[in-house]
Amino acid sequence: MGNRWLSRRAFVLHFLLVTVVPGCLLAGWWQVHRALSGNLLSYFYSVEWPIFAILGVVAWWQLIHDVPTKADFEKPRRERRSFLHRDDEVPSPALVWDEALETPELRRYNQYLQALSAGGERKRWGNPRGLPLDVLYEQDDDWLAAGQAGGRRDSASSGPGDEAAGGGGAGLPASSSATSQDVEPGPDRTDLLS
Amino acid sequence: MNGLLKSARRLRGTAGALARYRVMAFIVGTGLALLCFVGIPLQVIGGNKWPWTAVVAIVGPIHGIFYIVYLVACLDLAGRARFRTVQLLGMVCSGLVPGLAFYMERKVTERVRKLLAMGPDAPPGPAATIWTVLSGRTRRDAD
Repeated sequence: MGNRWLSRRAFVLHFLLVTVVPGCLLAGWWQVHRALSGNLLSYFYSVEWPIFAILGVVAWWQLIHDVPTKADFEKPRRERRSFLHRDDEVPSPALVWDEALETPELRRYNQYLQALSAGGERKRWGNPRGLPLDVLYEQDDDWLAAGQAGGRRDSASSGPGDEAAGGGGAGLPASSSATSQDVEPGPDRTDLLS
Repeated sequence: MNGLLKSARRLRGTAGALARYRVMAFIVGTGLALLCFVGIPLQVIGGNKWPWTAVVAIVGPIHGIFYIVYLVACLDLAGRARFRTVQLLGMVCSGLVPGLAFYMERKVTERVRKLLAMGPDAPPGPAATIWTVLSGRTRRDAD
């Protein structure tokens, strides 16, 4: 969160420090003069003002080292919500998947996602060769079907998507797929790309 | 009042700091009101002569000592309850303007009780309070 000594908040605190603390010390010095000229109460005040100066330094140190709260927890939650929401609003019904709305491309894509999910794979966003999406999905399906099972990409032209969903996923180890092989193409994928 | 003192002894953490602050705010507010509304008028009426300055001479230093304790309690509470600088300044100034201490005490109590009621959802605890300053250790120091 940046340098705590140089933030905008810190400069306000520095300003307060260099005004308040010398002010307290000056007032203490003034009370010392008054005490020496015979005002008994000023003996006490000439001790009190330096204590205020010390407390000012302590407060400055404490506020510098404090992390100010960002969320304003004092406001009730309702006020923080978007104006698009209303408290009396009926919750919308859960989305139901309507297969009649599926275009062939969408169905293919969903099958591709199912195949990925069955194999524990994650969707890759990279498309380095700029392939049309359906070609890319087909290749992915084939790669899932053939490549992961052990046979390599000589089957690139053959496999229909249905086999990929069933066959390819079973051979994948489910655990290793989560983070390591999501973005970077694997070593067996490189010559397909080049 | 007695109950407040008892809870100040018993409670620790933010709730204890709030109780200590409330006790001190009550004392300081009363003392300052006594000084400003009784002591100073008497001093002015009597022309700064001895029997008339008695209230100022007695209440003044006592109030001064309690004000220091009040400031320490304010710093402690402000560190624990994540007060902003402006809010801490308001707490400090409420020891200087007569009557403000009582109002400020209500506002501060309201805020800290809200924070305490949030439980684990509350903003994270203090990076520094006056106790960590004086004992030379830093809690939850980020960098």
